[in-house]
Amino acid sequence: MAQSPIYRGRRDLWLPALVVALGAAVSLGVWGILIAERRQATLARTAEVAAETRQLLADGVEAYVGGLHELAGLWVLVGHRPLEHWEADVAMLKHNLPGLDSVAWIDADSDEYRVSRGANPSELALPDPEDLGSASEPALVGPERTSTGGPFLRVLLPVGPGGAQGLLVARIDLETMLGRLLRGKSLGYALSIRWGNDEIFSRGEPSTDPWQGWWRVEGNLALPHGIVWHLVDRPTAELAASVLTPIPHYLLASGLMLSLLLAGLSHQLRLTLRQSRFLAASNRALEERGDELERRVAERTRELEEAVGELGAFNQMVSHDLRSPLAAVLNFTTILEEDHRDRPLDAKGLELVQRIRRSAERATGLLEGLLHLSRAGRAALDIAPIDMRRLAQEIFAQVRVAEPEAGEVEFVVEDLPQAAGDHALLGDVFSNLFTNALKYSRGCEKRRIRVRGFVEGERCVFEVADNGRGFDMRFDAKLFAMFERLDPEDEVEGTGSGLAIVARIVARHGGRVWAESRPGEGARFLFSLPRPRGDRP
Amino acid sequence: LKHRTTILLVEDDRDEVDVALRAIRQAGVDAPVEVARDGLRALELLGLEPTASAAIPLRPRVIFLDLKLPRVDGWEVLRRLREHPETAAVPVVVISSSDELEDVRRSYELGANSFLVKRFDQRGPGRYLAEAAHYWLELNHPPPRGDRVS
Repeated sequence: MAQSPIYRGRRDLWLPALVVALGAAVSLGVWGILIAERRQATLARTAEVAAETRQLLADGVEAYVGGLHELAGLWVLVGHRPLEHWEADVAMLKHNLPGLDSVAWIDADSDEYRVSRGANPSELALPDPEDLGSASEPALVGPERTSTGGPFLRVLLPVGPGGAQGLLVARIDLETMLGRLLRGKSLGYALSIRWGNDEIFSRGEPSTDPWQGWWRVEGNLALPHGIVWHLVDRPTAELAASVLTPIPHYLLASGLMLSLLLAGLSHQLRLTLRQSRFLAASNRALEERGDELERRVAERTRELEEAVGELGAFNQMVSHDLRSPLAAVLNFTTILEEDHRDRPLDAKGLELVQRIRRSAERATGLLEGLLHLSRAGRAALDIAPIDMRRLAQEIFAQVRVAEPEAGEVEFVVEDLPQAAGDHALLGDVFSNLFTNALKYSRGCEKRRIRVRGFVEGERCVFEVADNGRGFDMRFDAKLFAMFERLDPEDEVEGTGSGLAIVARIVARHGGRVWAESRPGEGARFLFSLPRPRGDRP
Repeated sequence: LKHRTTILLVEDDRDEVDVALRAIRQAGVDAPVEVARDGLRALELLGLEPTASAAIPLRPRVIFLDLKLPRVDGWEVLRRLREHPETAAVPVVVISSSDELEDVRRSYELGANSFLVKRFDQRGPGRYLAEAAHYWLELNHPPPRGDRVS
């Protein structure tokens, strides 16, 4: 077998590639949506936290300034407070406002300076009392750093209209104040507050993951009294870890893996399908081959059966037909020997010799008939379109030479259709039929042999008719059998092989032979043959 | 009585007929021999087949029957003989050039009384036929005429 039965897959990877592409697209899409949603939610939450922080800071600063206002108001209301009372007021205020570092009071009426305990007046940069009264609004100054600490917020708070009654100066440690204000707030976020170029507050470690760079809320916070702080809210690593779960990434990864798996499966499935199709085709081919083999076996069997049949005919011929003329030769030579031992060969003796010769001739005729039948069965068919009319005329010309009174026979050939067949063998068919027709019309009046033909579908039928003695249709089963005869041998000569040969040749052409007759009314022999291929309808 | 001593020889080969007749005469059997050259003629002679001439049906003492005959073969003749009550018991000696077991068996099944294989007899042409004729005519007691052997 030239073709290998094992299927080898082609390098055709468009299907798995398509599956991978689709799977990746879907996975990426889902991943993108999840990430975007999460980002939006996280940003909203952060913005909320940031807004809360800002509000807290604004309120806090206001509260500190308010507290200082109260201290100043107390001075104005009560008038010159004794020092120990003032100290107690300041201590109370420091307790309430963590980060309040030091407080100073400059009284406008008395030019009195009062500085809280532990405070360094030079660090407070107290102005001259003459300079008072220019500002009436509180001023917040900073950030200030000194050798001892900072950053500080300095609050200048004029008291009375246009600061007419005095000035309160306070210094607040920003870290402490902001730490107090933001205690327990904005958890999970790293918060950085800048005032100008100085970072005045920083809490928490922001996540260093560059993927979380997008996640920050940053902006200026305008506080009362003209202060602008810059705030940056960033998530800490802990918060990022708890909020930014890697589920979308896992989904993406598993989606990609799944699509790869599907691609592999689809490729495999495709290969399997192809292989099964291939196998099915192979099976069909095998079945066809099997049918072909069966057909050929049947054909061979038929040929063998025919050969066996022929062998049977040969056996029959040797055991029956050839035996009798040979027995006759032996019998008559014996009789001749017995009867003419003592006397010369007279007319009776001569007749015996003639009979011996006839028997020997008959034996020869039988052998020749067998040889012809064998040839009709064995010869390779050389099928070609045959001009049947011309063939019939040629053959009759040959046959009539052997016929003693052929001159008186009228021979008519009508227009015959072309047949497909072997020229030599079809010649034998005509030869045997014409010989028969001549033989069985011997002695009849106005002997006539007529050949006709007509087309019948895919076949053509030919007829050889004579006006001889005919035969009884009851016996026509024997007509085409080998060495069977309808007449005793001395009435009509022959060995009974002619029609058997005709039947054999016609059968080998795929045709059929039959006869129609009545005693005394002539006989018609018909045979069918296939038409030439180009000639069929 | 003519019918009691007649022999019917059914044989298409003229040479065989001549040899048989010569042998029977030489053996001293002088019963007349009717010859039929084919099966149909034999049936006509026996009145088993309609014929143009309304002759009296032949009732031979023995029939020598060849198997291979023109028109109607020997087996058919034998079958028709045994079917008809008038001829059912007539002794039939089959003479055939075949000695195939199938032919022999079939002949006996159809009711043959004897089966002779045609041969060249070294003792003289057709001697075996003459001996058979002698046996069936001289030694054998024939069945009663017209009666069927059942």
